[in-house]
Amino acid sequence: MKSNGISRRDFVAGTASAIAGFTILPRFVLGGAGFKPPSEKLNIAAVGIGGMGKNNVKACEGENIVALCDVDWNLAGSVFQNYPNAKKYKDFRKMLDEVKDIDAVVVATPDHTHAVIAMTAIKMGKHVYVQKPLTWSVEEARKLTEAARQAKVATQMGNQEHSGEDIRVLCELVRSGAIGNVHEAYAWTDRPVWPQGIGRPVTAPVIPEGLDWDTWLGPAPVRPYHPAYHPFSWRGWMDFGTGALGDMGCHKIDYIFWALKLGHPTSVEAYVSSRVVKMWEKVENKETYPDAEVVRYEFPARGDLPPVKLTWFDGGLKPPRPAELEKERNLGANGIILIGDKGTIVEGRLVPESRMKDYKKPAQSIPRITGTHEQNWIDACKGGSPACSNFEYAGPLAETVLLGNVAIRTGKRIEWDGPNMKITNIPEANELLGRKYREGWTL
Amino acid sequence: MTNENVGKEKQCGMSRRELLGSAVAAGAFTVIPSYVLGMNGQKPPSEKLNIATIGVGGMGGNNTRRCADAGENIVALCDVDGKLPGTVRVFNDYPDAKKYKDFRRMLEETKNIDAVIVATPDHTHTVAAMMAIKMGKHVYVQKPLTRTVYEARKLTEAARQYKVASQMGNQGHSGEGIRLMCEWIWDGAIGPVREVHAWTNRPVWAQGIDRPKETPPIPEGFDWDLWLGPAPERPYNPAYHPFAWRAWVDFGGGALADMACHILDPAFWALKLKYPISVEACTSTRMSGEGWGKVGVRETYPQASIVRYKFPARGKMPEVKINWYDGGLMPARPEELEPGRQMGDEDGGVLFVGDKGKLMCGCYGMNPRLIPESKMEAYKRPKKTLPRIKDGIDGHEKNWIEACKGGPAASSNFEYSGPFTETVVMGNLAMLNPYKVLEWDGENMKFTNDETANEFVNPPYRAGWIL
Repeated sequence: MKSNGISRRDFVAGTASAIAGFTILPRFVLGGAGFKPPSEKLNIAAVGIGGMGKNNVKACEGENIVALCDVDWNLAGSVFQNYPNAKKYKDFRKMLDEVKDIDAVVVATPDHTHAVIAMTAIKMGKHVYVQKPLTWSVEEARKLTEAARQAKVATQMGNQEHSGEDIRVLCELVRSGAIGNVHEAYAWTDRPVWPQGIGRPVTAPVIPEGLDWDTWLGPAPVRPYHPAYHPFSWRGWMDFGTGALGDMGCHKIDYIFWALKLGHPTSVEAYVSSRVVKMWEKVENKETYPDAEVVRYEFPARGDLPPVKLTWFDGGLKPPRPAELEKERNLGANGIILIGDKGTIVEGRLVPESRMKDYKKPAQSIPRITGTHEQNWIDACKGGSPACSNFEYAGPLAETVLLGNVAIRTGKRIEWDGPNMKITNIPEANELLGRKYREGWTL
Repeated sequence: MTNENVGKEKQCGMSRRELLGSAVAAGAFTVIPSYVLGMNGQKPPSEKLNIATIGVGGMGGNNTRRCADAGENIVALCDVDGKLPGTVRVFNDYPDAKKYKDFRRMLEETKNIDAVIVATPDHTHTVAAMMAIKMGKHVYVQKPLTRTVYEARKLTEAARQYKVASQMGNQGHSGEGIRLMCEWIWDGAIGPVREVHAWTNRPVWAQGIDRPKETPPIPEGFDWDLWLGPAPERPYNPAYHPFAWRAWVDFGGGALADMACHILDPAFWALKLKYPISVEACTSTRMSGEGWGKVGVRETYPQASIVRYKFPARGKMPEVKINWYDGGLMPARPEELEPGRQMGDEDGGVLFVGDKGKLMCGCYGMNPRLIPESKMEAYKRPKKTLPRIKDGIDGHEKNWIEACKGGPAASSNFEYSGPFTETVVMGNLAMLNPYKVLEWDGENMKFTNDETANEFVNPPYRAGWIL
């Protein structure tokens, strides 16, 4: 504890102002193993529990689940039942105001409300676990990362593969020089599995009982409720979601980002499938993301590592099959390819497989995470090392992914000044880095 | 008759009369070329070709107009939809031409037809052109030459056998741009080419859609059964006709077949390509919103695709990969291209990546440039060695007319455009069977590693229709 230079109590107290009476003592202070005394448990609240949030909360069950919040109580009903002692809310602001003993917050709402919820929690000194993509916009990701740094809270983005063995093996494989210098990389997904490339519905059905549509909208512009947005299908809508890239980019690009030690790209260029309804008239769609996308990033040299071109495919598009891949092997629904000057890696393995078999695996150099991604964060909340996908890492990753959506919406190659968060060649495109929030909402 | 012309005719080894005579017993033949008559200037009636057009509502109207402007006789016009505004207009433009709905009847009844323009939807190109060829008539067939690989092969063989003049309607092939690109690439302007990227803004019609369920009545004056021709039967719907047939696998060849016959033409010629050794495609999917259901699979071509062809080394030219992008997708912007400069043009373009430089052009081989522009300006252009076609792109029909009258073979005659079409439409088989490297035995028209994909090489015709 001394080696950290700061006790967890100091650590949190120094930032969390005077809000919460703090009751948790980390395990290493108590010296206990196995059985957790109540005082060692975190008081966790979750916002958005109808989707992945449900799983995240389940993984946190060893702690106290003290409050649960969802704008749609129909969807959240079964989860509420599992935690009869948790207080139930529709509005996260009310929950954070009223429940004073919350230590940590899980945010698993639609993308457009991640930032406002997580920011409120961070500013109250609470630790946050935020589903991927970290935020809806580049600007939100930058601000959230800065706020977490300032508030010194434990953070984790919900890209759970980052806690896995596969990504560590890949990093070690690449860093051992197995494929030499990597100049070219690909990542892809079969998403979207929800409709994209469509226009805004014209009907305005009655808002279902139990759903607080206004709070669901949060900082996004007002529009009438429609089941086309909620539940689940919000990902396709530009005002709410971040499309296939936002959904899966934080998982798949993660492998490449870490293995190649990437940071800010220098340029991004996107081409997308068009939609035609009437002959010779391509629909200019500013409502949903397109059916299929190709996004090309360029990253500069990093130390001894050469520049890299990273290409993202989704919506059924995939990279070319590497020549070394055995004919009978198919590229998966989601995956990555790294092409080096001495070989190729497909989805974590050297190809052809005979090369993988012959390759002497490098020694483990990256610490393994034994528990779940959520547990890794809980440990950080209790004063352990920062979680593996804390915002210092996940923020720039999310920014990079979300910058792809800016390129998609701009329709032109954009040149990026990452440190200053600025598109240098198309000034008006900078407006797409963030957005004006609806009245009553600030970050 | 000048001695020079006699010499030319002798070189051919066969007079045009003999040439056609060998092919037919069908039509009483009345055309005598000008060099036989020895006349210049105004064309006597006997010198004129008698031309018939099948499918006049779309591009066929333009092709017919060009032939009429060149002074030929338009003797018969055929269209299954006499009420379509485009058809009505063309029918009115040629009051003396006989009008038909059924090309078979037209070819049987109008005995003096010398040459036929085929500009129907893709799925009826072959049956119409084949009948004409077998009657010894010259043919101008819109691109893509055919809908399937097998049809392109058979049509090419038939044109060869019956010794008729042939031309595919890829008019860029008569242009200046494609010739410049050949000459520059053969000059080594960009060194050996190992990679080509080509793209189009098409489809500008809906693809990636499901078959309509509605069965509206067939419009008056439209012969739906004839429109279907050899394609499998299905109820009429305006989703197919007019124009939108290109999207449908049973009728058209999608964006690829529509535009690659123009856009890939410079690559095919300049790089001396024939059959690829493999092809691989990936395609956009569209979700129905019901579960994880997908829309339009194998019914229409996708809204967007990437098709990756690999060609073997040819002589001193190395193996080359050709990547096709459509539906809004494009290759990476080359770093040599100056900021603000358009890639290709609004219809699409081609980027040749050589060991020593890059060459870009628009659709139809238009505006070829080494990039960056400073390289173009510094380039010492080689001598123009390829013969030019009079009036270039605008002379494509006339180029065929000259061939019909005994001149040299037309620029995009089937010996060239047949194998070219085979290669283009073969890409559609990959689109219908995506995510695999399909290995192609071009000579034998089959994939050696995928039987399912082979089903589309020559899908069966509807009863009553044969090649």
